[in-house]
Amino acid sequence: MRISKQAIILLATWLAPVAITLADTTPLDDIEAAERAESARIAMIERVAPAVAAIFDENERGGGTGVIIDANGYGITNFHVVADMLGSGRGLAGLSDGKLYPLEVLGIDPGGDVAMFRLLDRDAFPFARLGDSNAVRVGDTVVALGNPFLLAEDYTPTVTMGIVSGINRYQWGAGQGDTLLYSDCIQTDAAINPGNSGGPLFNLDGEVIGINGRISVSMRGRVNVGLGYAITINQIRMFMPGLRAGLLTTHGTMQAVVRDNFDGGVVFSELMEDGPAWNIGIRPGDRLLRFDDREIRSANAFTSILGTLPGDWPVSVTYQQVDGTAVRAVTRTEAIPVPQMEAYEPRRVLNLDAVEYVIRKFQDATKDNHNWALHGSDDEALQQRVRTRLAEIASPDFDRGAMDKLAHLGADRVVTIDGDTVTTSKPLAGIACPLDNEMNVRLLIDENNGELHRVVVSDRITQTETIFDVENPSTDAAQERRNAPEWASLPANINALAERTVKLVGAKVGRSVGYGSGILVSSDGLMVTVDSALLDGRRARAYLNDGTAYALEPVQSDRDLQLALLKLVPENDTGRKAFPYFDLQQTGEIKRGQWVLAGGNPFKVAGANEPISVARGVLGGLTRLDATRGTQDFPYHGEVLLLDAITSTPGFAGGALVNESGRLVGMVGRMVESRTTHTVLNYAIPANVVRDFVSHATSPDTSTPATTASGKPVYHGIKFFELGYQSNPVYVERVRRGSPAARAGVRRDDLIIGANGMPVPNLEAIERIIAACKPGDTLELTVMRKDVIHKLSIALEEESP
Amino acid sequence: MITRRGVGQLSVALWQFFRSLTVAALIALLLVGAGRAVADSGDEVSRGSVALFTDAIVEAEKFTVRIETVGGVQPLEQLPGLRMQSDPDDEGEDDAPAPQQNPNQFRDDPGSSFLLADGPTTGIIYSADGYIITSSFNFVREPSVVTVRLPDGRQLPATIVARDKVRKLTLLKVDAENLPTPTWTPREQIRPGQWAVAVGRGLGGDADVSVGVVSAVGRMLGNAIQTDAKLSPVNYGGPLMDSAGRVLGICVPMAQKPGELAGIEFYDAGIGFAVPGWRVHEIAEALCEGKNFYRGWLGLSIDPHVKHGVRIGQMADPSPLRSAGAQSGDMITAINGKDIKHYGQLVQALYMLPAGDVVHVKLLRGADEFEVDVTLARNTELGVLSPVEEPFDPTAPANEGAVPPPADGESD
Repeated sequence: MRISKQAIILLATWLAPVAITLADTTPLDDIEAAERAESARIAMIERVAPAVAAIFDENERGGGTGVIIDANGYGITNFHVVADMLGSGRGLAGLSDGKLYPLEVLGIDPGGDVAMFRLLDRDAFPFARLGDSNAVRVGDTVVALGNPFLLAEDYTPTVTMGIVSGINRYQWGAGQGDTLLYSDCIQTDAAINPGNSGGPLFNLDGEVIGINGRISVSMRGRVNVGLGYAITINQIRMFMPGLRAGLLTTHGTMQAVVRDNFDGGVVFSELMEDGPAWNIGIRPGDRLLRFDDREIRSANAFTSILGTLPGDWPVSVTYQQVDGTAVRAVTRTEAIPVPQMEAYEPRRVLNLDAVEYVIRKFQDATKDNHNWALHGSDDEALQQRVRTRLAEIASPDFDRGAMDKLAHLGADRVVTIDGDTVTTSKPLAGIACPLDNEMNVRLLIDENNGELHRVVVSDRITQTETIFDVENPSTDAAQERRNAPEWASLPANINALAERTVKLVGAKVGRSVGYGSGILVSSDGLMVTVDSALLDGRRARAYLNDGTAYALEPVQSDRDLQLALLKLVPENDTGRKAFPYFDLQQTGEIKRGQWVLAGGNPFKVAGANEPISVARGVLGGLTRLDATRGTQDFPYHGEVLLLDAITSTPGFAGGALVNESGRLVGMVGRMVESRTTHTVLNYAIPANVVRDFVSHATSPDTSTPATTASGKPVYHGIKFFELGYQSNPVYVERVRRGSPAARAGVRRDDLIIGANGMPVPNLEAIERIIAACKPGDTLELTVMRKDVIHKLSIALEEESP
Repeated sequence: MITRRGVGQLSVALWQFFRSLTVAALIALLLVGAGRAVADSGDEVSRGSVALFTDAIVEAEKFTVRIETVGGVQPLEQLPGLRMQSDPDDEGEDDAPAPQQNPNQFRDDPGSSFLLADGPTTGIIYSADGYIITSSFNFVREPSVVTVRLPDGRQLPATIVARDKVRKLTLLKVDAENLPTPTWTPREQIRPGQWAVAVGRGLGGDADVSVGVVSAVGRMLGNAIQTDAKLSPVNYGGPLMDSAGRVLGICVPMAQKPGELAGIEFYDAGIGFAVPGWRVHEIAEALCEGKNFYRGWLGLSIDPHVKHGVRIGQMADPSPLRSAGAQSGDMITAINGKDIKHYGQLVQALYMLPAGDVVHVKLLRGADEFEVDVTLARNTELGVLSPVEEPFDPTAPANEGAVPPPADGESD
């Protein structure tokens, strides 16, 4: 391969100078790049797999997954994985070395479905690095490791790969007391199955970006259908100090309700007096502009971000009063008591371990520098006493016995507002220690690097607090940058895909509101989707990517194609002049094995103003659809594109299928079951079928039906042996003398095994094939006669009355 | 661009080069004509990956056959009371023993009530002289006629040579010679995270493709590799290819429980299995000689009243366990060196072992712990359980673990 490539470059230099500039884009270079990427991925998985633990209870039952995050054996998993172990606090963890290690449950976050554990009986554990989940983008390739269905007899994790289908997703509470809330989570199409719970979701650099904990399930039961949800690692970081200390951590509330305003803003509608929001001056009618230093565009966004925050956690809020004045403030969330959770007794030894862990880091970080610069109070005497105390703690002589007098307060952080600038520190570990008989000191230390950020001195007698900010020389080295994403143009394509795909919410189907997807096909708002009951009635609405809503006006639908064309009608003035749309005259090419992206709104995961879900797969092939929907024949029998992305989920039908360059190649079809395999198919209607349907529906002469069937029955002259219509092989009972079949050489007792290239397992199959023929067609029969296969061609005639 | 390895491929590469020149010329024209380029592709890794998949598909199509069957029945609804037909294990066996008094005491769990389709399925040419290896899933219906459509278009009648009920493979033979055969990925080169391309002909027409990665290498007691490519009846029996155009394994439905249909519930869910080449080669000779592999049984029921550990309740007479000297009431503490703490682990230790294999069973009787070697038997070789009536005890724990409890509390 090397040789041939060099030869090509030599030839290129010699023969055709113009090709030199294109050397970078020869397929061979692409292939080498792809092979390098594959090798890098294999190496990455080899590196991180030892840090993934198969978690069991003490009796080696049950199970889930966890990931070790430091050499001491500390790791994270889902709360629901260890919920049944809380009694003893003990479990077991199998690692890929094939060994079982004792596991101890530490702190829990039932509200966020997270728990920390520690493995024992080994000096240094393999561990995985934590990434930055804020840098995750839709379309990023991700890899999940875990123990789905407890398949790992040798405790080696299962690897599944996919892309990020959505970010900032919100999933309602589930489980006991609806406590397991998934806020601001990552949605992925990597296969996540029962047993994957608590396992890590990695980026291609092998950094943990989330903890997989939830999936959407369809009528097939508890197996993956392409939608898994991971709690972001940045959320977990905020709870980590408390989790490490074995504490029961809580989530926070602002004691305020917001709603989406008609003009797109977010407005406070209800506030609890004396709640955190009320106390910083917010009143009903005020607008929420930013929360936790993130712009808020929807009520959902606020709820989602708030759901990720711990209780008693400092946050910045920017709001606009009714008179137009913008206000920035910092307050603390109010802790939500964990419902239905028995009193959780913090264990002394875990507290001591957590204190020691942080203090050791602190000692390392301050080895050469005890000159803390304290800002915030001019009280020189107090500053001096604090410095003396800090120097004691930072001294290597400060031993475990002395640490025993300190208490771990859990997680905290520092938020400051300076003019327009909001600064938010990383999550910090709070350590409380006595300064003297009257005063306590609280230290906020970055448990990762030992940096001291703030000292709070509280006077127990006067009940006053003095806050010192500690100046640290910035040690934050440039953060390790991620490798180039595997598919560089993906985000741009995904954006184009999201803008041209609409979310449909329609008529009530049964007790719930129907929902689906559609694609925009013209600048004046023509939209194609699958023909379904959700379009009935006047309540159907289409939501664009930016959240604007439109009513739907039917143009035409075709029962045989199962397609519907509608027009988006603005309900009030949106100011929109033209719609983004897929140009049906410029559809993408179709090649087996090529990447495709499917976009739609499966399970209605995306709210009105949230981006659609995206799944990646390859085009599996082209086949004629022969399928049922429920017990009915599915009327569309044309060609379809087979996908290996899962699109057979509620709401995905009508979504767009695009190729790598963002061109439309098809439209996701309705959920059907193949007659050939009895499995639910993932497929799309080819773009050219959609195009022909649209051009026919919009042409002036719409009176002629799109398809015409001949309808004339054919004559072949065979009488089949008719016992067992659907189950028995098709034998020829009799051939009429002089008939087309007789002329073709069909004989009595022939076993018909194929017709027109299709297998014929039963009478129903051959009758379907013949029904599709018209007089003049040739019926190619494959028959078996005394263990020899014969091919016979029957020239079909018109049946005479 | 079939394979890029070997000296003979230069011409292919050259052709590619010239083809890319043509494309380059076109692009250059476009650049001149339109003034700006149309970005019409992803990045090089993405394009290169598609080229690798294409290579694998083209390679796979050379030795992947379409299997069509005629006849056979849908398995009956899988309820214990309905399992009265003769054991399908017996068919095709010359030395089948006389029927037992109650042959249904020890039966494979038949799996889910998945409705079997009769569409075409997939197989791989194993040898140039006409042996075809495929998934047993394709023959659960016991078809009366089997035909194989070779990649060159010939359709030939096939005979079923042998079945491996453990690894769920079936070997077919057609009368043909000089057939193209695959290259198999060496065992040590199969690694989690590498591309895995499943190719199947289960929907007729061109082969269908699904791309995933190798999820794990030592599944099903070392009998399978795992993939997140979407495996289903579309590609059961077909090859799982690596990115170099070699076969990683044969796609089969599997789960950690017995039964020919077990594992079908995972179809398209990102949980798929393939029997790797090296495992196929180990048994290929025996299969070619017509030797069938059946699941091995110890022949016991466990005591449902014991919550911790596995205690032998009853043993069939005859049964391998009884012959080895085990007694009712003994605790099984380990099998082949693996600790057994509950019923699920007992199943896990045995479900992929064929009859005839010898297992080391550690027993605890009172305070004595000792090991016995047990030669696993076929279910048809097992006698009846001693007729001890269990008093009905609603508080008795149900058997837990990886599998649902069989009707008779039998566990292996």
